[in-house]
Amino acid sequence: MKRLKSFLLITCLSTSFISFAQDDVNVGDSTALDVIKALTHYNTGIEKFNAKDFQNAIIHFDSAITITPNYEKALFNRGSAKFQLKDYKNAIADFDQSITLSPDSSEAYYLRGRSHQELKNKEGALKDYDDAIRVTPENPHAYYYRGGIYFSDAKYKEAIADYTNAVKNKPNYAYAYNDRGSAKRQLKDLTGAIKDYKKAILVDKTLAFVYNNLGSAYRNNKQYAEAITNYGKAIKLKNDYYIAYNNRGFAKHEKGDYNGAIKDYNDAIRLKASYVYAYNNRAAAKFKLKDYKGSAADCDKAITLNNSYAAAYLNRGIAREMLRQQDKACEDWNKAASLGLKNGKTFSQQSCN
Amino acid sequence: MKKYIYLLSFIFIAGLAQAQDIPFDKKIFKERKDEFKEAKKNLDAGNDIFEIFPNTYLDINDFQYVQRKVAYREALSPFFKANKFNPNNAELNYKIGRCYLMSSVYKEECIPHFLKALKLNPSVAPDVQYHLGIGYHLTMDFDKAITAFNKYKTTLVSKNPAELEDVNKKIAECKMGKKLVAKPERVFIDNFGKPVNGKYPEYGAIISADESIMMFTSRRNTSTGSNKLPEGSTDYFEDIYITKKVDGKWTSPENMGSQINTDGHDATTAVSPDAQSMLIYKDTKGDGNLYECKLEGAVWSKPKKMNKYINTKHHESSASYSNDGKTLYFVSNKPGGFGNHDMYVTKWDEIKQDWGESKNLGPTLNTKYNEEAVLIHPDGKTLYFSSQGHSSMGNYDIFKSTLSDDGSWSTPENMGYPINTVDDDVFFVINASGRRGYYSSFKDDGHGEKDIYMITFLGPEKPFQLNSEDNLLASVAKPVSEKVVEKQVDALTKRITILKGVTSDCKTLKPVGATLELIDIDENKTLATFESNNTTGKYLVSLPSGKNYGLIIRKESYLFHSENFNIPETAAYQEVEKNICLKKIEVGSVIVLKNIFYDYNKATLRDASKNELDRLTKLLTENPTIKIELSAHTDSRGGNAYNEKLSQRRAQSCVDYLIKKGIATGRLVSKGYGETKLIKSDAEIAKLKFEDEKEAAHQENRRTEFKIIAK
Repeated sequence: MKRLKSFLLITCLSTSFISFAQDDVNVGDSTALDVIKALTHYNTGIEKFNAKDFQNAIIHFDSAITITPNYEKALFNRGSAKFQLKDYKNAIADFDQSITLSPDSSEAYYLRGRSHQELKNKEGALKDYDDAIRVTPENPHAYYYRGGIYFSDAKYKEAIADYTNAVKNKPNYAYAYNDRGSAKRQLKDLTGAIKDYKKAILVDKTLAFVYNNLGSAYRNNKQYAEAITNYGKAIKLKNDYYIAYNNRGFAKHEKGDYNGAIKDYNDAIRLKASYVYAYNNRAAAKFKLKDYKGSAADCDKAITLNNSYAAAYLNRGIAREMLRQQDKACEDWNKAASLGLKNGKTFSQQSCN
Repeated sequence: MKKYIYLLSFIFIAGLAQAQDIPFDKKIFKERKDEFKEAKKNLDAGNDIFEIFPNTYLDINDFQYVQRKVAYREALSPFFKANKFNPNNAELNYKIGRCYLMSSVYKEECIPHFLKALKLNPSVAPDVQYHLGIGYHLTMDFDKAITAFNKYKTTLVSKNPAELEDVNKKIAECKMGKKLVAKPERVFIDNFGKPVNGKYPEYGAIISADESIMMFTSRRNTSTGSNKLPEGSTDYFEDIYITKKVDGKWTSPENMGSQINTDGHDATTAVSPDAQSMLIYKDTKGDGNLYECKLEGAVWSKPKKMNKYINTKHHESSASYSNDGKTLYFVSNKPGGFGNHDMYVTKWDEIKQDWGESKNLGPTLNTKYNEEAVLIHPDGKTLYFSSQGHSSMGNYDIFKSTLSDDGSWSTPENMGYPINTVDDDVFFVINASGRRGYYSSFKDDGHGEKDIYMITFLGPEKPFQLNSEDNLLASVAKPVSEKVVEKQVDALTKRITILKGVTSDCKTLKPVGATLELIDIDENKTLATFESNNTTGKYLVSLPSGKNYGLIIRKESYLFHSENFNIPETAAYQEVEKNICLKKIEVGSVIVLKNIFYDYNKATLRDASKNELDRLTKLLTENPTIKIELSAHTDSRGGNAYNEKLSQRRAQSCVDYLIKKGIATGRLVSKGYGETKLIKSDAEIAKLKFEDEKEAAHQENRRTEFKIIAK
């Protein structure tokens, strides 16, 4: 994913570099020499940037800006290099200047928005994405990232509208299809979600997480065989994908294949020994196989890893009930209730009198 | 190894093929004369007992059944000795099978004998397939039982409709058994253990609604009248024993004493939810009747025979009180029913202060077969009973039916396996929460004879909560956990509140017996009246969910005390312990009037308040010298000035009502305290964890009370 993120940024930056590299210089002007020097530094900065040598790119952009303080494109590209180096605060300072000098720079708004987003300044990011879209309504990335903020705010309908604009302006935008599918899933539109995940796969067959998401949409739709197939594809693309193992185990559990589920949870735990979900879920499969001791032991492990894991308390209570440890079961259900699980209270009311 | 198994199998099959029905003929055994003589003697001795009874297996009453059981047990020993001498006699094997079938614990032993008899002589007895079917049925080998019963059907020459009906019923029971065993109920069944269970028979457990008291029947050597055995029985006379739960443990059972137990049979039938009344079964003249006794202080009264609407010259065997004590369900085999023993209901006649005429519970519940051991749950609408009819899986099964608002009963539902088995399942009781039940059974793991077992109902399987996460957003590395919607769980417990506690004197703190009047606030009517125990002050009231209850506690020379319990329809089982102390009518006594209700944010009294204010009017009329301050209080939410004004207006509304009812103005002072006298401070409320607890605390602060300011 990170690889793609970097690719996206470079793609959008290169447009700016090319246009700037073609700037003219008037020979005979008194400052012409300085301008040439600045331009040389700027071009070197671009070369370094393209070679991902961001530190040296910044040094050259600095030199260009020292010579020509209002060098808007150098400011923009220095901001971009700082963004790459995760120096978001200083990147924002450069984008601020760039935008002052060129208020119609959609890319500057977009990248400043990204920087704000990285610094968890959601409002700042939203405003910049809005501006980026206002200046260039065809900017797919601004739509995409604004959609992401809406998504995180659970404004799924607004997110879907932005993702739709993103794919409209960039038809091969696999990420946008994926995320739109996820937004639809949050709205319980599983058919729509499945469709979008499939579109993402059509565009890019190498994204393991899309197969995983498709599997989960199928699982939620009770299409367990399809879910298991897609989790399998995710695992084939990324053999250390413990999340997909856990999810496949979940689907197998729902299908009634408890032994198969346990095998997948074992793999998830092998890949990530601290994976509480896999312990918790394995407890459920063991319970179904009447291995109540094993079930309680897995819940123990999950609780040891995360002592505020409500589901593990709830589940351990269920296993302990079958082990005839009623008092302990009741303790667990009460704990689960105190951690916010309604069923903790229900079970306690039902079985602890 | 395999080779030997094949060889042995061959020898066995060949042996069977060659086996012949060998009669007990001295010519055949002339080489073993003495042994034959002894074997023949045993055979004749067995036959003498076996043949006392007609061969029919239909229309045998309980007494004949017990007689046959005892006799067959006796016949088994000589038969067995004869069989040892000549194991290849078809008729003897058949008879041994029949004897085993009547035994308590070795029923399954009948099968090889019936099979052998059939092998030696397929027409050994016309009903051999029938009894083999019974054997398979009792061992829950349902498919083989159905096959045997079907074979029997083809041999039925007489086409006697009763025989045909009987075998068809058996087949239906086997089919039901298959169905129930395939999907067992989620229960734990545990032997109640010592000291309740011992080597003698223990059965007929009855419990108070809160499960704090249990009575049961036992036939121990310590029973009253244990110096002799009942005629035709090897067990001592029945006596009633009591055990109490103290700190979660059951005390050693005590014989209920000579007031209750006599030289004859005295057996448990029912106990009221508050354990202040008990119904017992006595059989003094062979007709079987129901008696009632009451707990007066610490002593149980002498059992009193119930009236003619309940007891007849026929057999009345079991009964159960409703939660309000105003309805009694009982079983009788008096004529006019739908079968043999049927269930009846009778209502308490307030005018005659006795039980009224009884009514058959109708064909939805009563069948042409026997219904027994009726029990109405403290929720007032779930009836448990045992029946040989309906969809039984064999003999008596336990069923439940629910009373609808229109007075009709639902189709009885089999309680399922392993609560029900192919054997008799009777004398079932269940606690108020519906979580635990008790019954008696004769099991291998028992302490000897029938024991009391506890059933813990686990309800539908509790759903585990599984968790998962996905990389929902392509540009965000951190996975997003899937939001889990908690699975809905079917209600296991009964929707009922058990309210219990002790009534006492506020000053001396000594328990006092008081009258508790349960009121339906919305309907403004009295639902039931109870008495707390004179000695212990203990009371217990069961409140089915779905009503706004008022509880008024009264005792002469004391101020009445009122409580309010608004229990929504959806409220699950809960036990509330509420100790209530009563205050003398004296200056300074303060009583909170919990059943006064105002319109929201207004001072207008709701109609539901009138009952409480009428009670206060009565108090003031009966005590004409007392003067009271009637005050109202708000919770801490809202402005001080507003709260003070609102409470003043509310107090005045109550005073106005009393004046309208004829109480002199000079005896009444109204006072609005607003939020100045909170019972629960804001700081205390803030410490509470759950919203419902906080709301309850605010509710406690919002109150109307009166104080005696002069007498």
